[in-house]
Amino acid sequence: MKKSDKFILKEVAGSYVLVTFGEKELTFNGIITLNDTAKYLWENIDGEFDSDSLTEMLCKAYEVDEPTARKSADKFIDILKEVGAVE
Amino acid sequence: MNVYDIAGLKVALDCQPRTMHQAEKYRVYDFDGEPDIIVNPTLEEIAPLGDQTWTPEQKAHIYEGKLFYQALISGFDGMMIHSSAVVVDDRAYLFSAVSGTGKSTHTGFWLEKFGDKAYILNDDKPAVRVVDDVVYAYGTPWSGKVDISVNKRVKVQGICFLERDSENWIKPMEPDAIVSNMYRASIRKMSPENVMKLMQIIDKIAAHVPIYRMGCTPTIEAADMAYKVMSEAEVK
Repeated sequence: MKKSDKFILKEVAGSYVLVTFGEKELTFNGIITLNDTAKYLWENIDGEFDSDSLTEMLCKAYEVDEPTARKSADKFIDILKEVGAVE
Repeated sequence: MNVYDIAGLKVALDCQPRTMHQAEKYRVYDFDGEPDIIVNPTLEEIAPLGDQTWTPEQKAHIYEGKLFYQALISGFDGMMIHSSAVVVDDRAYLFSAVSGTGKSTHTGFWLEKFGDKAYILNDDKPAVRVVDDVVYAYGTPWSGKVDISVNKRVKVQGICFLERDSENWIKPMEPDAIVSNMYRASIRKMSPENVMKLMQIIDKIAAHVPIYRMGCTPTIEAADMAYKVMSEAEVK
């Protein structure tokens, strides 16, 4: 999967949100707040990614074991899928 | 169309009776130029919208308000914050929560505490705008079931998101919760351009005005606490 090019990361009021500029009126809540890990992932994803590649990214960037990293990676992917931020 | 002075702007309204009636105290009679905002939806536009348990009159009033607040977001550095706004010493204190939580109950205790020295600026949907780098709240014709509003502009001293609790506490809101709380208190289901603009407005407001989270009981002690903490803050 890849990041949808209809979503952008913005810094608002001291936190990071993903905002969409798709064509339709928004049917989901409109914005997602990202924690530090999610922000890191979104910014550093380049092209195709999956659970494995994100887990690897997190293990390299943070001092964290593989199962913990995978949980974060999978949760991140679920959120993106839920709002349509992946294609 | 009749023209009204709302949130510091000239607004032309051609709306259903409830809105027109609520707007009367905002009417201006000597204005000749182009209005900043025009709100004149057709009945066809209004009919399919909203909750089907609302009366046509309620639907129209709410939709007309939505059009106004969207125009604020789109062109005038403003937004709507679903809250009860109480004024003391020429400063506005906004209490926001999901309907039914107790915003009006809480601000009602402020009125009890301060008597004549306090008033409700808008009990449901104050407009909030950044004008010349200052954040102001305004009364508007869209002010809830009991339609309480005052046609004034008041500098905002603080915005507080409240929830019911068995004890009273208040603290600054965690930075990463500010955007989602402000967004949820505003209009959602807008065009992406308006959502982007709203993000900028939220950013500006949060840079000037302290944002709090409060748990409270439906008592005057909660109002005492909120006033003590919020009135002492420095607001840019």
